[in-house]
Amino acid sequence: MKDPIVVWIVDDSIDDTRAASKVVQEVGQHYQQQRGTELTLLCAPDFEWPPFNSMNLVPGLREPGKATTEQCRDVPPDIVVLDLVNINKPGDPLEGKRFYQDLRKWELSKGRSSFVIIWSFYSGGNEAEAFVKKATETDCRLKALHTKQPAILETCLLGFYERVIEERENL
Amino acid sequence: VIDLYPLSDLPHLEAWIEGLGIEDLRHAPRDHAQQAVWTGRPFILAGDKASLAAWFKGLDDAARRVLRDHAYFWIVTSHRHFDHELIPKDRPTVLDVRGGEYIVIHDSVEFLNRFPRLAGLSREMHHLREEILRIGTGPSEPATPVLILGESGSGKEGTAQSLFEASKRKGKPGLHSIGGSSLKMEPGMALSELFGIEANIASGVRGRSGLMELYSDGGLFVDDFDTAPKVLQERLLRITSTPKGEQAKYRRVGGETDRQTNAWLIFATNHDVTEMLKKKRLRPDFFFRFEDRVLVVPALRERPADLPAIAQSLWSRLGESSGPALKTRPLPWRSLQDMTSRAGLQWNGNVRELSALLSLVASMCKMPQHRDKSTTALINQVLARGDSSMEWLGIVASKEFSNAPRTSSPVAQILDLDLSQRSGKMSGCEAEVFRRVGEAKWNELKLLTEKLVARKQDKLRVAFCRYMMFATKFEEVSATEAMELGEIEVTQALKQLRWLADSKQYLVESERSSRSKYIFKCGPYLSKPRDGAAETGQTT
Repeated sequence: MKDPIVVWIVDDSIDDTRAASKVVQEVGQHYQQQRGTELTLLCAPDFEWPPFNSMNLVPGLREPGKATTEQCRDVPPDIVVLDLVNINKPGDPLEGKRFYQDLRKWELSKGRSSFVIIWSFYSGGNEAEAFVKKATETDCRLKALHTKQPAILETCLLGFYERVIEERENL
Repeated sequence: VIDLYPLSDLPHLEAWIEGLGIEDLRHAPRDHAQQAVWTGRPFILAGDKASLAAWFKGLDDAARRVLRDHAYFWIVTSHRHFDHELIPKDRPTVLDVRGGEYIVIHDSVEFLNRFPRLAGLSREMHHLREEILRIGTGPSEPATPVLILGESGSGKEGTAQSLFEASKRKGKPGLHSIGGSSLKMEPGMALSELFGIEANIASGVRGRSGLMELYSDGGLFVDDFDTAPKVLQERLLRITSTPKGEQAKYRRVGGETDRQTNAWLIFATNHDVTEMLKKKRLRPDFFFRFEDRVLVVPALRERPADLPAIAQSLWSRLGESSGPALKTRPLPWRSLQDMTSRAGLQWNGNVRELSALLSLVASMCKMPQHRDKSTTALINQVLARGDSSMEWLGIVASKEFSNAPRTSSPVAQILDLDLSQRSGKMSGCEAEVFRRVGEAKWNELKLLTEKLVARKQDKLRVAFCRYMMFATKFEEVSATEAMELGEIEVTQALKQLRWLADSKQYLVESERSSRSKYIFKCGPYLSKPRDGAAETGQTT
């Protein structure tokens, strides 16, 4: 039996999380039908690291305890859909950046690196733009979408799904 | 590294592969039986009769083609009489796990490892390796010339290097490569390049050694020797005419005394020798000097088992020089399978053509805009252009090969916005336009578009974007570029928008621009006047 593809959505906005999870589930369903690959979708409602205790299995975005801590800890994600800005923190909103950095550090110990999709509005913030620019240059497994449009997320997810499957088949 | 097919009743197998540096992949997940064929590495199939039969049954046509040509796979089983049409009868392939036959595998793998420059697992390459070993270590070496024949890009230079490394001369000054065509210069110059020149034969001339002297204990690889000037060919003929065991004699340009050289001459050409002899472009006595020391490098299309091995080898070399973007990307076996089974792919440029294809794909892999595309998708994107490198190269000039970061275009983003969910928020694209045009012009655009459409802020984006679309004749790329607004473009845009706001023309254009969405969805190419249908779609 194939290992499921693990996707994390890290976003403080419930609406955006819903929109993203809808897209992820559609893509997951497509691949389940085509290639028999299961999907495990986990959502983190904030940018706290480690996110394991607050993560939830979709559906039930805000219901705690749906995902066991062990389940999250043992299986590093294949794809992470990451918001950058915490709208509830006007002073220091760029919490996604710290999450991303912690994620990459943690992944070093796990020996594998996920595909990160920056799913965020960040124009207007110089720090955010500088971070995205630098991360895009240095991290070849990161893609910034510059928008929260579901159709664009879907295109990006389809591509990364293919890459995950390709890596599993060939590495 | 050898892939092993799952099996439980072979207790001695660990002992068989011990010491060979073989990776045990018996427990690795294998969804597709034929995958082992496409790894480009030798492999062992270990199994009982039923599992082996099932494995062979699972092969598709391309894999069968590769396996027929494969010289480095073995079957380890307790059923010594196991047979299949794809199992070669001319070498020991089915080995009994209980006997000491593992030595066959050890010998073959060691033999293969002696030629790191020659990737390829086909029978032809195996034969070429044997010939290299025969010539390289034979009693007639050194100084007896060798001729290498093969199509352009088939790997003649690699063969020459392997020959040199297999010989007793390994570690000596080395093998120097020169192209025959690079010697197409004034004969005196070409001769001095090869044989050296004496000092003071004319005013200001300083004496120097030629390649024959510099590589006296090494070798000279003369590629495309038939394109070298005739006078040079004749001089080289004299060198190759030296009796066995003696050192060749030559004179420097302007010299009066003979010098001796022991340089090993290896010639190569990509032309048909028979044709050259017929057309008298090659002297028959020159050809006869090579006796039994002629190596033929077969064309890539004639050795399907080499394609995966060479492609994997090229890919890993590209990865080493390309940084992390490529290291994390495997070369998918499905693509190799596709390349092998594609009838149109003739590989007329041989290994060089394959290398060109993979280099193009590697370049695309490194571009940020292609990060979310699988390697298979990128290979297909290049191959969609046609079956030859001439067609693939066209991709370099295309938008998908651009170095500019190309995330989804601002136009596409704005047109596809789900406005109901987004009211009050400014998208990255809007903010960018706002930043570029400045507050005054942004406000003016807003006012103007408010005249054109209902007084809703969200519609401004759509109106402006649609305006940019028809201003650029519905070309997404042009519109995107136009959205990277410069001062002049903004002024022009405002001018035209003012005109539209005051005229009935807007209604016509608006109607037309709403259809542009359809063109959009079908891809930007539809909007180009490539065929009648696209034209009609754009103008009606």
